[in-house]
Amino acid sequence: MRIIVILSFVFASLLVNAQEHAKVLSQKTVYNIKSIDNVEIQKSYSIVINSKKGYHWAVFRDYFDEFKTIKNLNMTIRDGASGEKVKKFNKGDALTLGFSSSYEINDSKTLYLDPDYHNYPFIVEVSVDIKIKGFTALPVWIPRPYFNLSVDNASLELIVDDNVNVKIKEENITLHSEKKTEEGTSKLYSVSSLPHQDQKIRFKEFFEQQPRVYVKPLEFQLDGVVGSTESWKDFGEWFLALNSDSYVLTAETKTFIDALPKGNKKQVIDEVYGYMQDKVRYISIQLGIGGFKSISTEEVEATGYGDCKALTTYMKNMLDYAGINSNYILVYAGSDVPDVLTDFPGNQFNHVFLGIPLAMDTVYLECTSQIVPSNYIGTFTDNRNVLWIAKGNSQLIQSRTYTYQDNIEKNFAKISVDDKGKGKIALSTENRGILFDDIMVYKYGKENHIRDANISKFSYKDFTINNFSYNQDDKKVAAFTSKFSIEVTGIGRKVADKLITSANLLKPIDKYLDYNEYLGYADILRGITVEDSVELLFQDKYWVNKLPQDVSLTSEFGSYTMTFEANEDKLIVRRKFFFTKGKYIEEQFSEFSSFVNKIKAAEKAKIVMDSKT
Amino acid sequence: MALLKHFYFSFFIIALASTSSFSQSSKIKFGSVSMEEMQMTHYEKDSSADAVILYDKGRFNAKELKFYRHVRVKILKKTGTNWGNWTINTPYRGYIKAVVYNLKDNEIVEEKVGNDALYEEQVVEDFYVYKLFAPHVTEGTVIDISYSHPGLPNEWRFQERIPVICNELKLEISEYIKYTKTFYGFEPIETISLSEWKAEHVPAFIEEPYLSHYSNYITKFQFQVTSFTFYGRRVYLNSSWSNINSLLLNYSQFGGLLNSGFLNQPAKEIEAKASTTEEKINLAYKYIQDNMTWNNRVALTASTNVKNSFQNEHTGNSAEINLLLTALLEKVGVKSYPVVLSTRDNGFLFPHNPPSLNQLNYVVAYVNHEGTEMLLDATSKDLVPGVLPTRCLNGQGLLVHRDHVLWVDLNMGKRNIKRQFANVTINEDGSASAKLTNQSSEYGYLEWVEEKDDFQEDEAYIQHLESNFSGIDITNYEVTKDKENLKVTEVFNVDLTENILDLDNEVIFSPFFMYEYNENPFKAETRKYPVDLTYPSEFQSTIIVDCPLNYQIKSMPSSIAMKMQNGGGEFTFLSNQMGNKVQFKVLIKITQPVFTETEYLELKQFFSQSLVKVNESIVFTKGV
Repeated sequence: MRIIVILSFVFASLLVNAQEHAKVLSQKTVYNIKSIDNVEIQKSYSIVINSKKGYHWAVFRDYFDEFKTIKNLNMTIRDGASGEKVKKFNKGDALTLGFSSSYEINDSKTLYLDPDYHNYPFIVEVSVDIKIKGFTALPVWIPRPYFNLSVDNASLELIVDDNVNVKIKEENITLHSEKKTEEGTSKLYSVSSLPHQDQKIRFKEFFEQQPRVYVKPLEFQLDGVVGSTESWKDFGEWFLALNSDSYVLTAETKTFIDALPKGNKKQVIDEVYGYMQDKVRYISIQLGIGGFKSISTEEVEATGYGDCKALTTYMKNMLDYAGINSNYILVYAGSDVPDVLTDFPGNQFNHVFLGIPLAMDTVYLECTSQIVPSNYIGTFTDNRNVLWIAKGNSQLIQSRTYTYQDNIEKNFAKISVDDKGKGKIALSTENRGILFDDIMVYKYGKENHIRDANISKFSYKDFTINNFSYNQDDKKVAAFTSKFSIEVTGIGRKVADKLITSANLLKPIDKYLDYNEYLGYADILRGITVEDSVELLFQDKYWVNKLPQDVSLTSEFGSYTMTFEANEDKLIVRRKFFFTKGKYIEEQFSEFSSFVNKIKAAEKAKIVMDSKT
Repeated sequence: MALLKHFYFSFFIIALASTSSFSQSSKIKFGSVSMEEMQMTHYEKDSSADAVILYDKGRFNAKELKFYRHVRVKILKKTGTNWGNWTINTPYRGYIKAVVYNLKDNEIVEEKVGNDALYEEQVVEDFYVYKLFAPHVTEGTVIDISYSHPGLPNEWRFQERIPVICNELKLEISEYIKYTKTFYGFEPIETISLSEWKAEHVPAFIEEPYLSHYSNYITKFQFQVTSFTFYGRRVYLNSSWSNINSLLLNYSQFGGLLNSGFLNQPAKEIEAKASTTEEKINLAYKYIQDNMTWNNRVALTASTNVKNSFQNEHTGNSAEINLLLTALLEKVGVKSYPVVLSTRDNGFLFPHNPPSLNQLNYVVAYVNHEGTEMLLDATSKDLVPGVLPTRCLNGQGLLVHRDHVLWVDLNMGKRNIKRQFANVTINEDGSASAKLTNQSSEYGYLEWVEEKDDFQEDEAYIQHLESNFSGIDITNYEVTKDKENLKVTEVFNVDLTENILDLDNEVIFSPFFMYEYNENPFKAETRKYPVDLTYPSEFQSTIIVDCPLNYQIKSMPSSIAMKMQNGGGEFTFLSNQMGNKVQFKVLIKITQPVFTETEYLELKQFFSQSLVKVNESIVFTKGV
C-alpha cells in the first residue's frame, strides 16, 4: 500500500496541471448484491487536491436513512510532497447534519467529514462501507462525477448472487472481465487516464458523456407492493398499484364540484385547479418511504398541504369525481439535469405532475404551484422524456416543449431624449410562453429581488427605473404585461449640434442568447421570438438627415430584421428576430458567432440627428 | 359559541374596511382574534406585502427565568403562505402552541394545531429545532403562535422581512440574570419604561446593495448577559473592556500564544538577518505567512495544540496566525499587541456601548514601535504588512493590553488606487489604436487579484474586458505583479477603430475608452440605509490623443471640477491642446467610504454627471 501511495504521489507531482483542481489517483468500488434486501458496498479512493478550488473533493458527505447505513468510515490526509501521514479520522469525527428548508421535513441525514487541511497539494484517502436494505436502483457508478476532476484509475467490481435478478446498463464503458466466484458472478469495469474537463458545457451534457454503470433489480418491493422493471409498462403498473387507494373528499369539495357546469371539460379543469390552488400549499414531508407513497387526499384536505404526489393525487381524485380521467406523469425535474435512460425502465424520477387527455390535446397541471395557470409546466419539467402512467399502457412520452413560436417578448417603447443626452423611456413589455416564468420573481420576490431582477434586464450604463407595474390580464392564460418608466443618462450623445444614438435602444441581442465567445459554444435552451417597436420622439428639435439602412439577416440559427422609418415628429425603429433552440460548437459555432456579430454591428450602428435650428 | 358569534358580529358592524387600525396591542390575547383581523385584505401602508405580523410580544419572566413569545401573523396573498411554516428553537415540544383561524361564511373557524403538525429536526449533532407546518393556511388566514424557552434570547427583532404592525417587548428585571442590550436599526421604537419597549407599523426590511451586512441594519436589540447568580454567587461575564482584556490575556488560547517558545529560534534567525524595524517586520510577517495556511476559519481564539498546527500541519485559524505573528514580532524586538475586533458581517462594534465578549470575533496584530504604526494580518498570501483584508474594515478595534483600554482605527488609510495612462493614435484612414497602462495598488490590487482569479486564462479575462468596454479590441496584453508592494501593472495594446465615428466630413471620438466607472454603481431611485463602500478610492486617468496633421479640432470637452457637498467625493476633468496632440486628465476620488441615506441622491448624481462628462467627444473636421 505504501509503495502504491509513494508511486501515486510521484506520479501526481509530475503531472499536476495548474488548472486541474483535483485528481483521483485510485478509486475502487465494490457492489456486493447478496439479495434484493441486502447490498454491501465498499468504497475506497485516494484523491490529490491541488488547490482551494478542488478542496470540496476532500470533504466526505453521504446521506443515510432507514434503508441505508454508513459504517467503517476512515479518512487519512497525507502531505502532497512527502506522502507523510498528517491527519487521521474515523466515523466518530464526522458530523451528523439534518437541516432542510422551511417547507420540508425528512428523516434522511447527512454524514459530513471535513478534514480542515489546507496545505496544497495534499492527498485524501477514504475507505467506507455502506449497507443498503431494499432498493429500487443502486447509486450509479460514475468515476468522474463533475467538472475539473481527472481520474488516473477507477474500478467497479459488481458481484451478484446467482439467485438475484438484476439488470446492468453500461454507458460509455465496456465490461473488462467477468468471473464466477463463490459469492456469485463478479463483473469488473475499469477506467484510466480520464482527463479533467473545464466547465464549458451544461451539466446535462457533461453527465451524458461520462462512463458510468447502472444496476437495477428486475423485481422489487416497496410497502408490500411488488413491482417489476422489465418494461415501462410494468413499472407503471406498480406505481398505479401503490397509489390505488380509494379516496374521500370533504362535503365542501363535493358540493363545489357538483355545482360546476358540465360539458366544457377545459373549464371544469380550470375551476377545480383554481379551487385546489386557493386551498392548499406545498410542503414536502418525506418520512419513511414518503417519496413513493404519500399522504392521502383525506389528509391533504384536513391539513391544507401536501407534497407533489399528494397534491397530484388530490387533483386526480377531484377530477375523477367530476367524471374526468387523468394520468400521473413521472418526471426527473430540474432545469439542467440528464435525460431519462429510455431503455432502462425503473425509478429514475423525482417528481410527479398530472396529464389530462382531451379530444384535441392534453392539458398538463403542475399541482405544486399556487399561481400558474393550467397547462403551464415551466422550465422544470418541459421538453424531456417523462413516464405517462396508464393502466396496461404506461409509456414514455415527450413532455411539452416551448418553441420559439411560443416564447414571445413584445416591446413597445416611446423615448424622448433631451439636449444632454438623457432619455425618458415609457416601455411596455408582453411576455408569453416560457417567458411567463419571469412573473415568479414579481409574485414571490421582495422589493429588492424585484428591483434586482428588473435592473438586470437592461444593459444601460446609467439608468433608474422610476416606475414599474405588471399585470396578468387573464389568470387562466400564461402571459403578462409589464410597464416600466426608465430614465437613462447618456442614451444619446450630444456632439456639437448633433444628437447621436445607437440603432438599438432597448435590450441588445446578447442579452437574449447564451453563448460564450471564449469557450466557443452557444446553447440556446429554448427558442425565442422578440418584436420591438421603438418611437424616438424628436420634440421639434431634430431631424434625421440620413436614415440607417434597413437590416435583414437570416441563417440556420434564426433570422433578424431591423427597419427604420422617420417622419416629422419621430423616428420609428422596428426590430424582429427569432432564434431556434440549438447547441452549437466548433464550426457551427463560428458560423453562429459571425451571424450574431453582424447583428451586434447593426445594433450599434449610429443614428445621427441634426439640430433643426 | 353563540355568544362569541354575537360579539364578533357586532364588531363587524362597527368596523369598516379592514386595514391597519388596530394597535391597542395589550388587548390582544392568544387564542382570540377579532373579525377585523380576519377580514383584513391588505396592509394600507404597504400594498405589496403578502403577509404581515399583526402582533409580536416577547416577555422575559424573571421568576421562571423563561422567555415567552406570542406572535400573530396574517396571510394577505397566496404568495405569503410560507409564513405558515415556522422553525422554532426551544428544547421541548410542549412549549409550543399554535392556533389557525380562517373565515368560513363570515364565521371564524378555529383550528388548534396539534402535535402532528410539529416535527423535530436534527440540525447538527445535538442541536434540534422544531418545525411547525400550520394547517389550512391560505389567503386571509391568521395564525397565533406562542412558545417559550429558558433564558434570554440572543436578540429581539422589532422588524422583519414583512411589515410588523405592533411589537412589544418586556424584560422583567431579574435578581439572577443581569444583561445589557445594543440597539441596531433605523426604525423608531418607543421606550415605555426601563424594561418595556414598543414599536408600531414597522416597515418590512428590504436589503439594498452596498450594505456591510444586513443584520446591522434590521431594527432589533441584541442582548449580552453580563452576570448571573449561581448558587448564591454572582458570576460576572464582562463588565468592562479592561476586564475583557484581562480575560483574553489570561486565556491560554489567546494570551498564552504570545509566549510560544517554538518561535524563539526563528526569532533569533530573523534578528541576525535584519537591522531596521521595517526589515524585522517584513521578515517576521513573511515567516508566518509562509509557514501557516489559513483554513478559512474566522476566530477570536486559537484551538488547542497550536504548536502541532504550526509545526506539523502548517494550518491555522485566523487567531492562531495573527497571535503567532504578534508573538514573533515581539520576540524580534518590535513592540506589538493583539487588536481584537468584530468583522463586517458580525456587526458594528461600538466602543461606547456595553462591553461584551460575544461581539468580538477576530484578532489582528498591531505594531507601534518608534514611530512605526501599522496593522497586520497574515491570513492571505496576497496581503502585506500594513494592509488588512476587507472583512476587518469595520470601525475600531480594541488594543489588548493589561493596563490600558485603547481603541485603534481599523481603516489605516489604505485605498483602492488605480492609475491609467494611454497614448492614442488616430490615423487618416479612420483607424485608431492605443497603448494603455493600468496600475492598480493597495485595495485596487487586491480587487484585481480577486477578479482575475475568476478567469482561468488571460484570453477569458480579455474577452470579459472587451465585453465590458464597447468598441475595443485588445491585441496584446502584458501583466507584471509586484506582490510585495501590492501593485499590479497591466499593459494593453488596443485597436480602437470601432470607437471612431466617421461622418463623412467629421470624425467623432470619445477618449476615455476604458474608464473605471463606466457604469453608475447606483441604480436604485431612493435608498433607505447608508451606503458602505468599504474603503476610499481614487482613479486617475491621463489620455494623450495624437491626431493626424490634416485634422482640425472642431470642438472638444472643456475642463470642469465637481465636488460633493459633504466633501466625500471630487471629480476633475482637464483638457488641453498642444498642436496636434490633445491631452485629457480625469481624477475621481471618493474620500469617505460611508454615505448616509440622505446623501444617496447626491452620490448617485455625482457618478451620473461625471460619467456624462467622461463620455463627451472630440469632434474633428477633416482638413483639406
